[in-house]
Amino acid sequence: MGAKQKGGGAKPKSNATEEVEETLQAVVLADTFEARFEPFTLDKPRCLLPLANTPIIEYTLEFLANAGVEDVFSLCRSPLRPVGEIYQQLTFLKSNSTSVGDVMRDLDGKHLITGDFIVVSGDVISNLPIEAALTKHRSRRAADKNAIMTMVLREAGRNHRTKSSSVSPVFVIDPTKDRCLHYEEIDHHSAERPARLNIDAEIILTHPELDIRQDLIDCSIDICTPDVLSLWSDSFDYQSPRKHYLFGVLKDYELNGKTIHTHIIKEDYAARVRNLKAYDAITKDIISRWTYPLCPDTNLLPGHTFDLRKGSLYQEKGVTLARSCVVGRRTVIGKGTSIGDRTTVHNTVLGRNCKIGKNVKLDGAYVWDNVVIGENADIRGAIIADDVVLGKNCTVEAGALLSFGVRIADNVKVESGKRITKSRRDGGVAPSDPEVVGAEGLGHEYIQGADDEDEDEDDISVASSGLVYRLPDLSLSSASISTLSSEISEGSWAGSGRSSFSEGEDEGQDSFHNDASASLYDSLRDGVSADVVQLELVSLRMTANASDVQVRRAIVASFMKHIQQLMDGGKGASNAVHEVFSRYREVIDRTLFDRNKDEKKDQVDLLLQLQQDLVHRTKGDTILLFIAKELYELELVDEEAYEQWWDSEASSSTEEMRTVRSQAQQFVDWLANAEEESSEEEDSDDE
Amino acid sequence: MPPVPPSTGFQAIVLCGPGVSLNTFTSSGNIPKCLLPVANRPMIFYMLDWLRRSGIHDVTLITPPSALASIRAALQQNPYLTALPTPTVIAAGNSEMGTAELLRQPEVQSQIKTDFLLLPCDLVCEIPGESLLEAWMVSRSTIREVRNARGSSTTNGDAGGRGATAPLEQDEAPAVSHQVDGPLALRYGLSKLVMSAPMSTIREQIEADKGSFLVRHSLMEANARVKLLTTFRDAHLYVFPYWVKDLLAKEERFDSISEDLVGYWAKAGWQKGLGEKLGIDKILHQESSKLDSSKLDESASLDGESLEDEIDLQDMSTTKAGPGTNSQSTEVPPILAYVQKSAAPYVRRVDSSAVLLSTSLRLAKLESIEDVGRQHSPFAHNQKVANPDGVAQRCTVTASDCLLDQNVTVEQFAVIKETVIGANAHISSGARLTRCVVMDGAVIGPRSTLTGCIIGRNARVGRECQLAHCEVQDGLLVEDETEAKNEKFMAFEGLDQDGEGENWKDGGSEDNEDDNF
Repeated sequence: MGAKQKGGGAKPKSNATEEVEETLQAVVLADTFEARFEPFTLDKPRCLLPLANTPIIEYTLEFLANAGVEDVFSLCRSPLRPVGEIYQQLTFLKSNSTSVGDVMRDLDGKHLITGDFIVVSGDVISNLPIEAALTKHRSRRAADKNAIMTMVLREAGRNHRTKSSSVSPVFVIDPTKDRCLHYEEIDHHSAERPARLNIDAEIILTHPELDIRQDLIDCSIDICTPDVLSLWSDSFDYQSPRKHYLFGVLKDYELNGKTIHTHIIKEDYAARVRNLKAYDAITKDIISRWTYPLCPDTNLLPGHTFDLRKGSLYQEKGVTLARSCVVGRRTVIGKGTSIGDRTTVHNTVLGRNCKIGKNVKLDGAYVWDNVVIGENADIRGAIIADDVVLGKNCTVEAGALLSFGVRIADNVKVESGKRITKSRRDGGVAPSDPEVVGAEGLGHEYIQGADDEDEDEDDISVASSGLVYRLPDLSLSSASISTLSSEISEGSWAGSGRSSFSEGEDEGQDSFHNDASASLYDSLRDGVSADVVQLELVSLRMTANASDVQVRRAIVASFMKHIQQLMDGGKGASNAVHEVFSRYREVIDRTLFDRNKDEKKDQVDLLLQLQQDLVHRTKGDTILLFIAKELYELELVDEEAYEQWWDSEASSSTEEMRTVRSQAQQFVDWLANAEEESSEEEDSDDE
Repeated sequence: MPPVPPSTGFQAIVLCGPGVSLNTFTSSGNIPKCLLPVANRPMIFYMLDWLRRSGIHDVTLITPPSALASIRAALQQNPYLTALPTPTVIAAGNSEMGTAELLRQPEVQSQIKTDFLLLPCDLVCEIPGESLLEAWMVSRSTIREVRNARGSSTTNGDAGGRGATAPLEQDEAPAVSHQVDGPLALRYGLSKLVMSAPMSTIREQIEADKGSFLVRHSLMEANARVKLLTTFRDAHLYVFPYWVKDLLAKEERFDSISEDLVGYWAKAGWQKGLGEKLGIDKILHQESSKLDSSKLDESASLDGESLEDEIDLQDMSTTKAGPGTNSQSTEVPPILAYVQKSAAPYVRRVDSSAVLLSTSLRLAKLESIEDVGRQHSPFAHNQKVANPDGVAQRCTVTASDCLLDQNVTVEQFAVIKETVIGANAHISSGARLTRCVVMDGAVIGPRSTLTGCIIGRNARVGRECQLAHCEVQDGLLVEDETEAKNEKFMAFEGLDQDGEGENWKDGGSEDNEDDNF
């Protein structure tokens, strides 16, 4: 589902002094491979979501333009068409990137980058002049071509509102050389996080002065040389630009000799729209003009006509305000919007062509374009996406998210933290849920990770509310990240990733099963000795870290296939079974560990697997009988195991299963009798 | 923090150790370390003079019993020392004690009556004491001074926790972080200390942690920005609030001030529970209950002030800086440190012969009071050559960088450059001295060439010797025509005399004695 756009988004404003050597190129990571903005991102890529009525990516492009970038490559994976429509000068390349790492490797393969380039995340809002950093980077590189990268970091307090609260990056920097020596992330929410940073002794002993800093905002602005890309290519398993790439490259300094530097700015604004909390914080910053010149009244987009009025009120031309409405401070109102009588608007961003009814209360709301809000509605601290229709007397509590095109019927109360959407993750439209949106409403509640196999949904619903700005427990966003990332099959990168781990296991299982059964089957066919088969199996098991169950499953599959083949070649079932099992008795024996236990789990599992496999084979019932007998004679399976197997629900769960084991009935009966006899014998002995 | 009336009248405790690191000159037992000449003045002069200029008159010297008599005698007889207010001298402890233990001794405890400065005897400090005290009063917090080490980063291999080593402690080092209020920090350049440990400890720690240096997350949480300095040294100039006396008396686990007291205290600022474990909170509580209620409400940190001065010599110390938060420090008052990064003003601990040499030569370059007046430097001598008549006509003495004391005689054809020569010394004809320190009464034989040497008191160097970077013990005779480099000339019996040479860990010596230097 990934795609990538390449663009010659040449910005005319290039600064002549910058381009002494070559054109400055930039790569915009418009897709962060995270899903913190769901459900909005189901319909629109994150970089196109409006931030104070301007798409987020505009700010980033403006930043690059100011930096003198001539050539912009941008990549975006979520549905791309909207980006294409707006940025028609960009051409698209399809690719299967699922992480930043893939993108970088892809980029390296395409040889698009010719010189120094800037990698910037598509959600950076910054007014910092990058010239100083560029100059430093270039002079460093001129002195030592191993200085491959300069990260631009913004100094801030320990807690900054645009910082992610769940993971704090820690940079270890040699301030005399501005060199980053170590990078680590403190994950505040991971249970088993180590309590200490782990800094290499070498770093401590060879650098007389070190800064260990947790007060830097990492706004993902990196100035790179082409060597950076080749390092990405060298390490195929790096996914995230910081946690893997930066950490790994610094760790392997001895090997690669590359140095990564930092450029710390103390003034100017730089932040990333990382999550909804940051969205809220940055919007406020923009309205309060911290990001100047990136303010609404700069009118970044053609056609925007915002101007600044008293009290940080930004208003476009063509706004209709009722005489009795109150428009308070820190508010943005787009063109064509009308506000009804006695409506109050505070700290709110209103998009274009919205119709706000009478007596509505808006406070701290983000209302995008073409929204209709009915009379007497009360909306506080919520995000309302394009084309939402809100009925009369509705209440939307803080932290609620209404995605594109949702329709809320009259008199409905949308509770805090609810996320309502029309779309489903697969792109279809889900049936509406009247309980959430009212009788005539459109939309259903969006539960993050609902489509996943992930079990911890409870966490997620908590997380979804927590993600929303203004709630004290914002930090929970990390949980949602992990679930979402697993859903995108990104791997375990973004967060704790329990789900993604299990997913990885599934994959591992499948590949192990295929490999192991194929190789076992080959060995059986070629008549390789039991030792060799065993050895091969062990190595495969180690590689894939497979469980005993998986091993048994592979053995059963390959053995049965081989037996079937022998029988097809004209052998009797009993002979075939005897030949295979007696020869490879040891292989099976090594997978059973319950010889001395009362509950024969492993043996029962083996029998069940056999039974299951034989369901689909011709003469499966006969083979099963012989196998049962053979296993008993080889002392692989004990009498108790047969009993437990026979009594287990799984072995008689379906008609097929019962059919296939019908022949074995006689053996089990015989066994039971024999046992009785033997126990009688024992009893008599006792006497 | 509410303004607190500054405590008036500091007292100073000066620890006069036996000087193990300078054992070439101290092991004979005649001269304790604090009386060794630095630029022809006894070492202790610099400390006492500094205290006098800082307006601190209540000075107590703590010395091992063996050195008591000679120190008392020197205070009464030495022309430099008699000019200064006479300090109280008490003997305490024995040679095995660490500094913290020494301060636990009842005789020392009884001397401490108020907020006090704890000083080594071997510090040559050009930073005016007033400014440090002022910083202390204003910030009402602990201050510790760190100064950059130039050059060599030898690790201090000494086992005893000496105050002078202010290198890093397992993850922490003297940390310097900006004080709570910005202007203050800017004004005095103070930082909060979050960790302090000798480099040797750090290395051990790293070894134990399999080659990595671990930094607790709680440190990062408490201080977002930490500066780790590994080449700085603790000047061992501390300003402590009165309650530190109680803490020292109570906490028997502390062995050394610089390593244990300062190290743990710094850590207690961010490591949860450590403050309680050390009993700091209890002591502070008692302390504050004695004070006016107006004082104690807001912050216990008002009492917690100490000013420490750290010099970095060869040791490495780590310093980290982080914006300190007030809330954190309500329980354990922060230790503030002054980190001096530039070479000037001069702050050095004279605790090895190399430093003795370099400091002496440096001081010798100061213009004399006769030439430029007194304001130039407090350490200037009256004349560069005290007895011009003793210098023969046809010899070369570069007056700008030499210092010749009373009654020095120099015969003709001698060439003396960058050299300090003590009283009554005699330089024979044709001798060449470059970058040397010649102590009182030494005799340099004819046509000997000495470079970078330290010649002990009353030692005799024979004729036509070639010595480079050698140390000659006091009273020793160097045979004629000896050629040597990097050697120490010592009499063997010196070690046996009353065993003093072996007492490496003498109670008073919490200074940095670099045996390996």
